[in-house]
Amino acid sequence: MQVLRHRDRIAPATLAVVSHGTAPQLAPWLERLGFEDLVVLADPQRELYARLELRTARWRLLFDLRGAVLVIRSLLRGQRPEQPEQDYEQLGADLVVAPGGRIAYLHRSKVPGDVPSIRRLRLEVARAAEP
Amino acid sequence: MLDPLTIPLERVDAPGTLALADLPAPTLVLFLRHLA
Repeated sequence: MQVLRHRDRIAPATLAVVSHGTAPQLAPWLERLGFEDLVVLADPQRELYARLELRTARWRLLFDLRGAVLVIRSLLRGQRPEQPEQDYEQLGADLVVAPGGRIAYLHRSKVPGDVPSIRRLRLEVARAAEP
Repeated sequence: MLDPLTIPLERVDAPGTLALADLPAPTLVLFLRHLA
């Protein structure tokens, strides 16, 4: 994940990753990454996913032109997609939680590969940290 | 309605469960995707 490689640029935020996978499925992935300061949470029942009203990609979206462009851009940057092991339809989201337990920013992906830029995330984290 | 930030999620990096609201804020939360 691009953000994990550039996580020092998003300091001082706590960084958490949520997945549909189970803890035993995710543990080897976390070990392979080797990040000690990362909080990884499993949501196999998709409770959080449902509560945030996140989308899933139906076949139409998987072949959406916007998604295809984003995927091609990522490939040109040298990013290779992970082999889906759990759910190829999940689109996911990125969110920033501000002090006081408020969701300060929520980006629901509309198509595969639709993720905010590092710059945008850094800005949203800085805004959330403001008193 | 249950606040999404209070849903207990199983930790992979440590034993036990944790809700997003329990983490020191600001917190950047990413959903693991196949391409991101």
